[in-house]
Amino acid sequence: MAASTPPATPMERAPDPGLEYAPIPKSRYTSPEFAALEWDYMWTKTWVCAGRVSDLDRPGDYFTFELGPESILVIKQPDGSIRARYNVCMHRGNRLREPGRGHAEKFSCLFHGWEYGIDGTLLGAQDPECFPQGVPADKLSLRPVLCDTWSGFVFVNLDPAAEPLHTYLGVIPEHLDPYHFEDWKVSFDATIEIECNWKTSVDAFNEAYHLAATHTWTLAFSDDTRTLYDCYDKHTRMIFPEVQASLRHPGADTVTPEIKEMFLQRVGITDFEGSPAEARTAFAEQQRKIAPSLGANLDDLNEAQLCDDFHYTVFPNMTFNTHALFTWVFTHRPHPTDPNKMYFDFWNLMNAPGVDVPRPERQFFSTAAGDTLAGVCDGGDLIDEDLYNLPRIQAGMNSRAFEDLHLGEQEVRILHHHRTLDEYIEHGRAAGGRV
Amino acid sequence: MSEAASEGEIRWVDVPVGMPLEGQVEVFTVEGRALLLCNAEGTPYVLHDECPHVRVSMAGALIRGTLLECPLHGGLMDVRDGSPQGMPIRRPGTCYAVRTEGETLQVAIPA
Repeated sequence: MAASTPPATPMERAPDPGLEYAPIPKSRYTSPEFAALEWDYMWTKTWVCAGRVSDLDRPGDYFTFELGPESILVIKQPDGSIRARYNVCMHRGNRLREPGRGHAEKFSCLFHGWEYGIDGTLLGAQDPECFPQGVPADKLSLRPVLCDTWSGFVFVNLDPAAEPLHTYLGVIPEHLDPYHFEDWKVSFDATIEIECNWKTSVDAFNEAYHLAATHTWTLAFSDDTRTLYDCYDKHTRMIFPEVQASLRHPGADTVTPEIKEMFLQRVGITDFEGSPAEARTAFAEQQRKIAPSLGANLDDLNEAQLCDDFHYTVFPNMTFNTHALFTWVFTHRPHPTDPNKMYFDFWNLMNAPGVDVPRPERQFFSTAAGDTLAGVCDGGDLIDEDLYNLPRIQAGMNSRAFEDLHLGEQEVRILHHHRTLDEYIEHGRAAGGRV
Repeated sequence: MSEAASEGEIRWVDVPVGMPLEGQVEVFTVEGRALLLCNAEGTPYVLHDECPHVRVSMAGALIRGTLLECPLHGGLMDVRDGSPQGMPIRRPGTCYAVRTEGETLQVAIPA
């Protein structure tokens, strides 16, 4: 039997996706008609991340997942499995639980008291003798939703005939399993309602082209000019160098004061002298020394992964800003009715399996209310710069003056995202009209 | 709101049940009052044992941090002040002050 090979994130470039740099019509971001196409042919056909496995500890633990007009209950079962059911009482359609997470021995509808087991089976209706047609459990139990897990994330799919999750994820497990996310802990959890289309938000994090104008101060320690973009089947990657100044910055190819302060000093290196390459090596090695105190396993990560943001977008709406000891995971969810609004979910995951990290409650914010994240979480001031842009981008796209997006090579992931979305729409139309 | 704090005359009465496990509750009765002893992160709190939503007992409820979750419909209430923290609970619950006398936990009952 051959010795097993440790998992390793492939570093080679993906083939050029051969995309045409054609205009992207703004209606894809603004029109209810296009949002309806997305719902019928894409959102109801793709796997989407619904939450973390670690939030489902005991049988009966559950969380809800809101996707467009739907709400899904994701529930831990007595046999350890996880099931998903529509959060809809089959009597009159009432939602069984408010958005959030909790624990239930059973789900009792607060409208007429119909009760369901944690597996979704109808346990009983009030006054069953009043229903001449009966209350058959096989017809009136909670409707199932496909559910599976990967790397500590729970995914659901509204299409009962969907391909398996692992097939859908394509290269993603091979690329991200070396991080062992199943052991990481949620240390920040927020949802921000933003006045923009969900793709406006996905796009904003899919390129480093905006760094120089939006996050100018970050060029002292991150390098938009040497960012690599890779497109796979449905998903994309961007290797965004950090602990390295941009070639646009006066400190390019030096160890800037910002690199020393924001990276080296934070891991305890206070007297660094050396070249930029040596700074990256020192930062990487110091994290390897710290890792055992956190219970973190960095054995399967290379030096670049210990320095850079390995940024992945899992189609359609999951963004990983992946680092060795922390990762920001965003999910970008559509508003139930308005293509000019969306929900931005922001988890900070800590690679600290050996540390007691209290699970924070989810916080809610709104750009319309002027909420900001500065001081709320690490990096909140950086995210605020994007949150400030997003409603303004959406407003501008709705202008009579603006017709379509004019994208460049650094924005290839946005083009690829649209092509993948088109493939879903074309496949759905070919399969025979709206579902 | 704290009933004991809002009324002038109180009597301290021994809580007749032991501290539940962290994150859990124990129902007990004192002088005809149905009460709920809560262990929120190791700190005891006592509330009236009635969900402010549909006025059912909260027996079997779980506590996350200081949030008490009604087992029937999942409404949330803060055990520290009874404030509603999650629908369908809209009204505050009633809290009672507690203290420890030696080894004994006591609850303040309006006289």
